[in-house]
Amino acid sequence: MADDTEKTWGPKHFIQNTPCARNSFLYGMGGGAVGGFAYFLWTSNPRRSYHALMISFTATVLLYWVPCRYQYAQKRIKQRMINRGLKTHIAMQGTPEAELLASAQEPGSKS
Amino acid sequence: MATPAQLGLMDAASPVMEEMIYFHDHVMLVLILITCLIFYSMLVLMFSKYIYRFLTDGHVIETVWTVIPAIILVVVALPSLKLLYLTDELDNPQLTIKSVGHQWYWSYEYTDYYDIEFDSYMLPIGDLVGGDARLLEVDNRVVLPVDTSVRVLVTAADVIHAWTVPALGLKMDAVPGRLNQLALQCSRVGTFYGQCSEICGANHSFMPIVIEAVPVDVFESWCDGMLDSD
Repeated sequence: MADDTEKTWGPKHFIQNTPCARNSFLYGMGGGAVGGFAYFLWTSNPRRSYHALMISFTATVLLYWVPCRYQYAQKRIKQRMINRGLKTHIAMQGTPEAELLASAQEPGSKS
Repeated sequence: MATPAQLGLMDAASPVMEEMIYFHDHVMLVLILITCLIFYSMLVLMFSKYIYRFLTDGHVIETVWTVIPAIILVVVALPSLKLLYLTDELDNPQLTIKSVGHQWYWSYEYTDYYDIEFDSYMLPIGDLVGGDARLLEVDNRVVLPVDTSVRVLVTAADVIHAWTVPALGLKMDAVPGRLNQLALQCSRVGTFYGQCSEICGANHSFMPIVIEAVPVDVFESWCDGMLDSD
């Protein structure tokens, strides 16, 4: 039976095992701390500084997460295309169609 | 299959299920952020000393808390719709199998090349051997070639059932008199379990589905074996 280890789901599992999550939260905490502290230095208002901290945290998490997931999705799609190309290449090795394709792809040959 | 006390999704065995897991991660982050903001708002309000009994409206804040949730909904809806249409996409299926729900077993037909038909009953507890999963094992599994696009036509012979395999991200109602189509592609070898997901009578919980994804040559040997046994 596969997957015999017990699996539980929680925040730790989500942050450890989800791509881009760990970095998003780390940058978010750092960005929130910086934003909140900077607002406090500017205004000396602790109450609003906490608001600024929360807003900076949320904005930083989203600003890192969205591009990271987009790039991850692009890499995933390219990886699938490469996998499919390699499998097709292996399956067609030695066949007349593969040799025709190889000769067509040689530099200087007309496709 | 699911492990004891498992709360999260199963490991993906098909590209569609992988995309569902990624979408789940995306939505989960949005929910976590919203929850953090709500908890923070509750904390601030609990310890706030400001009271104004005659507050009736606030145009700016009302605009903000209308526009921002709309943007959040768009951020969630766009990948959701993309995934929804992806689940319906059929990529030149090389094999078509039919899955027919009965009370209380599944029957399968592989009629593309030869006529292979068999019933799939749950193994009673007395027939289980060491390592078998209780209420999940069947006498005849659905054997499919790995990395092959398969079309599954799901229907039922009596009442409504539902053909489900969570690890492949598949769930489709089996309705009598209707053929529902599913696109299936196992991206790794393995055994994937599912259970009927539409109440269909006394033994609704005892009609599981087992898919065994195997290399193509093993699938061909299995087909030969099934034809010989017929």
